Amino acid sequence: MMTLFAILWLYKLTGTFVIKEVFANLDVSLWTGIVIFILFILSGLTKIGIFPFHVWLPLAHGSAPHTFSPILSGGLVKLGAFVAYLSVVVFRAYDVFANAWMIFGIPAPIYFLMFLGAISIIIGTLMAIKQDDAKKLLAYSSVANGGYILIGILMVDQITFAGGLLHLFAHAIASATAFLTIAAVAHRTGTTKISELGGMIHRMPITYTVYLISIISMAGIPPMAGFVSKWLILQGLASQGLAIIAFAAFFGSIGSFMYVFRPLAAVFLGQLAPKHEDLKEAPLMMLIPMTLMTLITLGVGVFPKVILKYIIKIQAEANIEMVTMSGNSIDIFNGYLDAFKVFTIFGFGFLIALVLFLLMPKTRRVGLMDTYTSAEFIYTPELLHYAHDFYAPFERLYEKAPSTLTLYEKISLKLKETGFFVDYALMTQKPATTVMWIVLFIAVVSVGGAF
Amino acid sequence: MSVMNFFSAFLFVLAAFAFQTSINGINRKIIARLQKRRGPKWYQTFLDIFKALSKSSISHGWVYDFGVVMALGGIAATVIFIPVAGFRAFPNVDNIFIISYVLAVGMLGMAMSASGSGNPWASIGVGRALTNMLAYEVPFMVVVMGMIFAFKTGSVGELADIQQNLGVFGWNLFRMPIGAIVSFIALQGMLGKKPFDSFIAPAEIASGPMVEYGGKHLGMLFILHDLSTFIEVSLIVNLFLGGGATILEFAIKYFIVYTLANLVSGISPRFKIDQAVVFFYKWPLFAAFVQVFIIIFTGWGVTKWL
Repeated sequence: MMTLFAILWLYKLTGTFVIKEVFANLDVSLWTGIVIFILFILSGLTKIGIFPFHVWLPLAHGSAPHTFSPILSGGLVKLGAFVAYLSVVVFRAYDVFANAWMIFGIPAPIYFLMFLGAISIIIGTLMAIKQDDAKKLLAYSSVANGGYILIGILMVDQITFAGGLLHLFAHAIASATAFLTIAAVAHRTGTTKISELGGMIHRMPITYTVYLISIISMAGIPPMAGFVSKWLILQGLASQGLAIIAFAAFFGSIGSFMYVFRPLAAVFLGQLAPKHEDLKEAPLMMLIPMTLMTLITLGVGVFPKVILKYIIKIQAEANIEMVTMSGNSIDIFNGYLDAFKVFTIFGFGFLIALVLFLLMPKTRRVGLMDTYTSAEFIYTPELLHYAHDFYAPFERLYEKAPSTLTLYEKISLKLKETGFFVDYALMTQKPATTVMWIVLFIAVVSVGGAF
Repeated sequence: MSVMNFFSAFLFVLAAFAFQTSINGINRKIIARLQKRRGPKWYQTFLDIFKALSKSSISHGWVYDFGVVMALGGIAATVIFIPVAGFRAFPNVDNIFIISYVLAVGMLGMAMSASGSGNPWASIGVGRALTNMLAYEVPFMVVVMGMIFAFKTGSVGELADIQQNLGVFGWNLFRMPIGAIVSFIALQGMLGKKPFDSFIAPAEIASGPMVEYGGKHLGMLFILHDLSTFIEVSLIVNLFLGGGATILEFAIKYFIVYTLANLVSGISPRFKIDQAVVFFYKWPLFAAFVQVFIIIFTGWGVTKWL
């Protein structure tokens, strides 16, 4: 609604709907510019799930059909980033706020938006850690990663901006893949609750491998696409000395190890429940897209140039200093990253370990229940599966923190109460009174619209 | 990337392993004296590792094996990235963020393998280890961020060289004293030493992630532990003590830092996991921010110096 209003307003000002022409012809006063910027950015923030507009994302994901969640997370939500790009880069927000206070060389309103991004990272991470529904967990991780993307886009500089756009791509692919694997598990077992599953790796090894690679990318660990983008964002933040934003970025990236590991440990690893004993691997038509997207994640992680060359074009278009690449290596003034080299060295290390493993005596395969249990006799696999309250000691630290959702519920309750009061005060049983209010309302609106 | 690079990288990993394991042996003796014991021979750790490697062992499935290989592979690769006194197996890969995230590959592999064993103790241990990581890593990273901002480079080798060129008082230990203290506390967490060792807590959760391992798996994890210790201590030496002009100088600094960490560990009790988180997010984080703001706003220690 707000964006639509802003678009119509811009049409009235410039007489065209073509984005390029609108912003090229635009010559507005300071306050009009600010209002249009706010109208635009608010819808962008809501779409990408930035605090305090993030509450819809987990709710939507929790109840969305399994087939739709990957599209919602990988495609639709990321559209918010485009709106943010329009309002910050194309609309030249830095010029609009050129006279505002500066914080670390960034106009205060833009810094405030980055701060919201930082809060989203922290809240998304903390909430993701304590979810029991795998899809809600991934939805909160989208909230956190939306924060990274927003911060990257808002910086409009050489390094972080490229990182933000690359992260947009990397996270879209990785989270869509993760949703696909959860959908595959739900297809076979009928649940997405982490605590009801376990040991899926013994029945769905390919799904497991796909999930593993997608979370490696989501957590920003090499050699996947998410690492390159996170590296760019962290280097960019460090080069600008944005300590508080960088703190959130570090928190989110270490915290992401915690939340992505939970489904890995409790859904795919651990004990296999007897009721899941005769499950099969996901159907072939599910495996093909999952595998393809995994290959994209890996491919971009090893050869980031494939995507970065388009980002460089965007930077050229927007008149930003471009990220420089020599060969396969990203060269920026405070560091260099040759993803292919990192991948090769990792492969070499893996080879050393593999040779060592194969040279040593053979192992004997034993069952999952054949474990050390501190002299207890346990014969029920479910009892030996650690899935409930995985991070209980950590969750206890913030279980009493206020929730945004409750705040919204309270506000909506108050709004309803005001409505009842208006209803009580102004409305009566007589139709004539009601008609009078309606006529008055129309009169005020039409008179007001004429001005 | 030539064959020579890979060859020297391989030798470097071997040397790092031999060096850290010997120092570990000496430290076991030092801690023993601290606790009025005689302690084992200095090469006892080597014997333990080779004995474990030569034994046959059990396996709980392919991820149990694969995780161990991935863990050791990831950590061995990270060792290759570490610059030591002008030696670099591969040029231009010693970026601090690359090192800390490649290190995470190894950690993930180990966590995966441990959870794959199906033992709840292992999962509890991994959960604690990750929580612990969230605690110590963030204040350390904030300090590192300040350092990158100050010296305009994220390369560990270059950061060490800058300090080398400034002489002894150019070390960040003196130029960023608050940050150095934070990092030494964080090192204690990284090494999993007391008071931050609740994730292995032998008497409480049966050694946590390590509970199921035996034979060659355990041997490989011993090697992994020594290599990751090498990475973490080397990082601190490079970032705060100016690395070393020669290998010997580096080794001496390394020995001092590692022994200090062990001494603190030898006389400390153990934090509960939530206490560790609260601890790190109180003073070390605050101090890290103070240090970074001093660097950003006043330039003390970077542009301004006595």
